[in-house]
Amino acid sequence: MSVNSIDKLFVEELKDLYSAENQITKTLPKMIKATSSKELRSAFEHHLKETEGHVRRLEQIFEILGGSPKGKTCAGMKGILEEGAEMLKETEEGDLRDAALISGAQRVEHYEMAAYGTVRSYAERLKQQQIMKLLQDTLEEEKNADKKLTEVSRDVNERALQAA
Amino acid sequence: MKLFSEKLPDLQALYVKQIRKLLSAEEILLPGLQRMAEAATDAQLKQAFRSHLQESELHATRLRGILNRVAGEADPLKCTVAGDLLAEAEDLIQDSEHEAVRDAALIAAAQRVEHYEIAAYGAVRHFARVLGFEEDADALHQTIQEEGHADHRLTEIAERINPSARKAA
Repeated sequence: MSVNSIDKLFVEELKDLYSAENQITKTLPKMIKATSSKELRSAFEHHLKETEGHVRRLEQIFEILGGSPKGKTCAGMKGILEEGAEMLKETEEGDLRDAALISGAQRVEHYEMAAYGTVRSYAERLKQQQIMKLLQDTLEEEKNADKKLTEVSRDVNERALQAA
Repeated sequence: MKLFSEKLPDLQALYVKQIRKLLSAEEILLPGLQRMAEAATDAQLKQAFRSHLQESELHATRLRGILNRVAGEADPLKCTVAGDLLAEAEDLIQDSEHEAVRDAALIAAAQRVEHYEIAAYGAVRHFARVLGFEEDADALHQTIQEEGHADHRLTEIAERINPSARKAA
């Protein structure tokens, strides 16, 4: 692949995000299962539904642009999710694992916030208003998911301190 | 703790492990930033990468200080994600034929790195506060502020250069 214009870079990064979101929809159910905190489980469950929506929005964007979103693997997200799986392995079920899970999930959220921020600004430059709106909606949901995780971490981390 | 247990015993162990991985990440990112500064065309972008390179050295020094205090030694633990993120950046550099597009791609990759770090530092800062390591938390907070500024500076540069990347088409 060679990229010689921002249009192509835009499409490549959207494909990357499509791969990232699909990887997340496969991983979140495992995280939900591994969680002890009710609040954290419901935050993950809510975000799983949102993530399925993000996949659909990307499909919608590719319908507008013409072409398939498939064919790329987002290596960055793969690495972040592998790191999360490692955190699962090295903790017992309970508050400490929940604390580790939140720290992993926030790395995922931030990676996505950066990536969606980039494509949203490309869409703006390319005067793709409808696409920009779709990406903006997803970006807001990722930011809210991150905030929610920070809120949940306050109690979880305090409890994890007591866990030994 | 069981002798052969791989499980982390407590929050402090999780904290130390994540700090050690962050130290590894910073060490892996140093040559990566150097490479990105070299690959960048825009003078401001080059400068942004170079000044962030210096900041990253400081971030690594802060992490070593924390590890010496908490664990008695500053031993990095390989962060594989940093390598993955740099590989992603390298792909974009290789793929971008046009200079302005390459700069836009470099910014996109660098901002993913920044955000990963912001999330990772945010988690350990909160662990430090809960553990009562106020001095660590303050040092980590300082790093988060600097990562945040680096991210904003990249957004500003992106806003300026992206239109020319468009013209490159």
